[in-house]
Amino acid sequence: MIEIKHIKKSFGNHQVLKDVSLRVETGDVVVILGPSGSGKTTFLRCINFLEKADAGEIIMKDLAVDCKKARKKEIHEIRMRTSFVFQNYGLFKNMTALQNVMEGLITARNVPKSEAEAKAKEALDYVGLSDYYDYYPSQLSGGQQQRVGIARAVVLDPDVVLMDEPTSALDPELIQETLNIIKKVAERNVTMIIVTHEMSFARDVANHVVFMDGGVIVEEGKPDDIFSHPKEERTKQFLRRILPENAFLTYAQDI
Amino acid sequence: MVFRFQDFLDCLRAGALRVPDTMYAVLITLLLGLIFGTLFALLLNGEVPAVSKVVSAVFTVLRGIPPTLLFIVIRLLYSTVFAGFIAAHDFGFTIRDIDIMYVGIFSMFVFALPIITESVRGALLSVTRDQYEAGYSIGLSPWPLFRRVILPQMIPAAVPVLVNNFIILLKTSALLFLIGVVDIWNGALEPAHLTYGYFEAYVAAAVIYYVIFFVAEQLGIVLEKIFRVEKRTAGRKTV
Repeated sequence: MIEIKHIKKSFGNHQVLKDVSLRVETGDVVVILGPSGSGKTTFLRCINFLEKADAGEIIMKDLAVDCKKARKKEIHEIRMRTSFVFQNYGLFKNMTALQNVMEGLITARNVPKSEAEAKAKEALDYVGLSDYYDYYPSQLSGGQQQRVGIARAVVLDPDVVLMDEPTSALDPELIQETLNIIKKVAERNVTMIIVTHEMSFARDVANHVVFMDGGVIVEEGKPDDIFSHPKEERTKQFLRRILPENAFLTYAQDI
Repeated sequence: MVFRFQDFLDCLRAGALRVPDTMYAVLITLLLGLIFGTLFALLLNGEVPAVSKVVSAVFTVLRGIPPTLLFIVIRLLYSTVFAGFIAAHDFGFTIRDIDIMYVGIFSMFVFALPIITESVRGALLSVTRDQYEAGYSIGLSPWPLFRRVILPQMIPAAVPVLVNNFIILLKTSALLFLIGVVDIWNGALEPAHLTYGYFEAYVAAAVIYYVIFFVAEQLGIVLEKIFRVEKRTAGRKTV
C-alpha cells in the first residue's frame, strides 16, 4: 500500500503540482490521464525522487518520507522499493539487454551473478525477447528497448512499478504489443502507476483512473465511472476531445 | 643543400636514447592527470559551488601561463625555496639526492592538469541525463553508477581528445631541458652542437616523434573500438 500525500512542486515561478494526493492499494493498476502540462509526469517523478517535491509525504509500508526533508538514505530506500519505466526507454547504452536487466539485481541488491542471470533471462523471456539477450540498445527497435525497460523494472520485484508514458515514443505498430506486455504484467498482480494517453488501454487494464489537470486531481474513480459518467466539467471536456465517441454519450447525458 | 646521412643517424640514436625517460615523464603525467582530472571534472560539474569557483579560477590562470615560463618558475622555486627548506631541516638527504625527473614530472603535471580536466569534463557532459535517472530508478548509488554506467560511456568520448592531449604533452616535453632533464628533442640535438648539423637533428627528432604519434593514434583507434558500443554489428537481425 502506497500513500502519496499533498505533493506540491514548483519550477521557478510556475507551480506544476498544487496539492496532489493518491492512495494506491497493493495490486492496483492506476492510470493517470490528463492534458500535457497537467503535472502528471512530474507527479510520477516525485514519487521516486527523480524530482524533489517542495512539500508532501510518501508512505510505503513502514517507511514514511517527508519530501522536503528527505535524507539520502530515505530516498535510496524508496528507490529500492520502486522501479521506473521511462518514456524514452532509459536503457544503459553500454550494456546488453541481459546486462541491463541484471544490473539492478547485481549491483544494487547484491544478488549473486548466476541467480541474477537466471532471473533476468526469465524476465526477458516473459516480455518476448528470448533471442535478444546479447543485443545492445542501439541494435534494438524502440518497442524492443521498451520491453527491456519493462523487464528491468519488473525483475526487481518492487512494491510499485511507475511507468511514464511507456508507449508515447513508439511507432503506432509497436504500441499494441507493448501494451499487451504491460497488461500481462498487470495480470500478475503487480502494483502499477501508469501515466498514459492510451484510453482504451486504461479502460481495459486499470482498476483506478485519475484525471489530472492544472496541477490537481480533478476526478478519480473506476474506469467505467470516469469514462462513461464523468462528473466534472473539465473531465468531460478532456474526454470529449480525446474520445470522439464519448462526445455522443455526454451529449446524450446532458439531454 | 647537403643532407649528411651519418649525422642524421647519430642524432636519431641520440634522440632514441631519450625516449624511455621522456615517455616515462609524459605517461606518468598523463596518468596522474587523468586521475586528478577526473576528480576535478566531477567536482566542477557537480553541485559544490564555492569550491568549483575557486578551482575554476585557479585553472583559468594556470592555463594562460606559457609552459616555458611555468617550467622556469617551478625550477627556480625548487632550487631556492624548496632547497632552502631541505637544507634547513635534517631529513637525512640533501637536495642533490632527489632525482630532478620528479621536478620535471611535477612541472608537466601542473601544465597538463587544466587541459586534461577540461577534456574529461567534456566527456562527462556527453553522457545524457537519462543514464543517471535510469541508474537511480533501479537503486544504484552514485559511485557504482559512475563506475559501471557513466565511465564506460565517457571513454569513447574522451579517447580522441586525450590522444590529442598526449601529443601536446609530448611536444611540451621538449621544455624539460629548462629543468635539467634531457628529452627526445634536446637529446637528438646533442651531436649537432658539435657538428652544426642542426637540420639533420631536427629531421631525426621529427622522425622519432612521428613514430610515437602514429603508435598513439593507432592505440586510440583500438581503444575506441573496444568501448564504442553503437557501431557494433554483432548479432543484429533485420527488424
